[in-house]
Amino acid sequence: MPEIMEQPLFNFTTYPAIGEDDWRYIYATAEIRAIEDKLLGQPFFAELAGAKNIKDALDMLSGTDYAVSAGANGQETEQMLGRRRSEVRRLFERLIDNEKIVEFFQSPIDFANMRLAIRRLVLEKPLSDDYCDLGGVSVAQFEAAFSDEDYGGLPEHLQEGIEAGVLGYYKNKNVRDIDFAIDKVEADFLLDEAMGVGGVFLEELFRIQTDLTNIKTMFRMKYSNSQLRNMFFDDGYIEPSRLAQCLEAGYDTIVQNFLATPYQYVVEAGAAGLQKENSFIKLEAACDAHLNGFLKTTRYITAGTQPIIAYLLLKEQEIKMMRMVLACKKSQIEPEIILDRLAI
Amino acid sequence: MQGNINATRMELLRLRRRVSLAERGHKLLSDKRDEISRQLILISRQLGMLRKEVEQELVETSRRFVMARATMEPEHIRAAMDVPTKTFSLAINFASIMSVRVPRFTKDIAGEIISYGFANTSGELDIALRGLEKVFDRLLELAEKEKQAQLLADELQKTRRRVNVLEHVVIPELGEMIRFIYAKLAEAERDNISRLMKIADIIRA
Amino acid sequence: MLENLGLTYALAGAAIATFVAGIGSATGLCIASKAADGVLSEKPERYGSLMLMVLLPSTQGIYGFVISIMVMVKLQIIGGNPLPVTAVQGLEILAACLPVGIASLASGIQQGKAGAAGIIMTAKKPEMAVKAGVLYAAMIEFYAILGFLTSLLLLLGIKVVAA
Repeated sequence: MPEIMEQPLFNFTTYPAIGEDDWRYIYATAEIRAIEDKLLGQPFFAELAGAKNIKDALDMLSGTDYAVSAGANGQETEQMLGRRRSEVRRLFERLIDNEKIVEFFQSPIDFANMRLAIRRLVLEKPLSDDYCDLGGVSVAQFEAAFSDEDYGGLPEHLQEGIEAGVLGYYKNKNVRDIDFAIDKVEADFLLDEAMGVGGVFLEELFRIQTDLTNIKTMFRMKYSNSQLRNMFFDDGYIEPSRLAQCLEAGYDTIVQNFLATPYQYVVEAGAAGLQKENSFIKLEAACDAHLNGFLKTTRYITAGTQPIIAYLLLKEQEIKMMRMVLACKKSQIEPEIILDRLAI
Repeated sequence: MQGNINATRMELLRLRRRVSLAERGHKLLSDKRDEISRQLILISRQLGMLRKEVEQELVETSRRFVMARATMEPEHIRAAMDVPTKTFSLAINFASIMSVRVPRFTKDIAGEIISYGFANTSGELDIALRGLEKVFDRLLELAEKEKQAQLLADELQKTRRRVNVLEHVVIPELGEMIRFIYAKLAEAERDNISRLMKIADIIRA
Repeated sequence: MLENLGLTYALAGAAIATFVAGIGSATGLCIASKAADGVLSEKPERYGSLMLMVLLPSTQGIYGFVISIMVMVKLQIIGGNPLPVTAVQGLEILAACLPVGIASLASGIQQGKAGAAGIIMTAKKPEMAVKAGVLYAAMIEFYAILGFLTSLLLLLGIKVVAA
């Protein structure tokens, strides 16, 4: 026996239910399962992190999806990663014939483009056309709406976001408020969208993501002694009041606060990383690992949207980790730090 | 040179005055040299430490940037960082150390460096930006100190050259001239005496 | 009119055996072949090893069909000269047809799903295709066979005599 999985088969104390099989998606799931085989996995990344230099690392990639020509510079590597990302998104949109699910994963990109456009608008910078083209709204349409200041053609949730963002800015003339306002609109929209799809998976996914964002936010505010309040989203499982209490408490108390919750290990790792190494690397890796663990529970689904969604997110995570390892190799960051951040 | 000198008592007095002036100047200049080198040592000692610290902080900050940039999706990085909110202006004044004009920077920084929300951004970016903000003050201090050190070093070299010229060229030369005039005058004196003695002999005879 | 009621019952039984078992097989095949198509779209070289798993649910339909043929033979309906059957005998034949129909319906669909899972597993571990993929799905077959045997024995036990 080469390897024995030490994880319990169903880690039902950590992860919520993921819903039922949906046999309409058997074809798509089978295709995903066949492609899933090509995900690179932890051992490959560990080896990549241990490569002597960036050149060796790029050589190791030659047999994979991430092959680049020898001596590729940072920009070429980034373009290659961008292509892989748009490929996986296109595959996802082809396999999922549920508009709402597709929109759920496209709209965060629309919102990100919108944040950029509103900043440029209120600070009177040129509205160039370098927006991300993976969103639900095409870049041209997006740019036209902003340059004419006529947002009628955009989907409703984006209009709402624009209004909130602009209002948020003019209250205090603080750029940061744009994001705070849009983030709230985005969270509400995504929750509605996830609930509208039916089935528990997307909703659970969103709640877990929200919890992880909240935990990260809590640690970031605590680390920088931020005076901001009411920054937590209330769509997660953890109540915002509990997180607000954590801001006043010491790290040990925070860890105790999360004992026997699914996020125990995330919080422990995060607090230890912040105390010992003054960095968020461990916390972010633990958050990613927690989410990946949830996504991997979809292996118990034979047919359904869950494995396809999980594949999209796992592949995007893999692309992100690839970018991280290559960037670190390029800047000659030690393999130990890379391994600390690695979450596949 | 010695040929051009008027071997007169007037000249001798003038030269003596010049020597004492040169000696006074030499003393002053060598005091200045010592003071400048003391200041320079002081600055360079601070400079070495400061430079090491700044470099370390910059490396640390850039590593965090690499990490933050690589672990955020490109569209989120762009939304967070594309439009800068922090404005920075720099004014240069001059101060004087040992009559050397050295620059003093006064900066005017406005706006909050962190201008993005918590969702979709990395905590490493917070640390990196705050670190950058902090290291900036020290970077200016470093620039200021390095320029000071450079200017003082120039001045030190100039002063040292002047001291050396006074010590090894001007003062010995003047001494030489004084000795020469003295010798000339003494010879003229002896000349005169012997001539007088000769005349006295002739008169007596 | 009413004297033909027995024959009607018996024929309904034959029809049920074919179409209910057929539905089971067709649904199962549909699920399994969709799964196989998904895998083949990425790994066309697996065609051979997936074939058996796709075909497994097709047997249920055959069992149903065999039972209906037996009913037809018993009633000599193929010759165009059916035996006269009483209403009670007709109902007996109808009852005898139910086990194969219902067992095939349920087992066909479930076998299709199990086969699909096996096909998906085969996409990752081709060496396990026969060991796990086929054998596990084939175990479901056992209950279809039980249904078939029950129907068969019941059918053989019914004596059709002219009323």
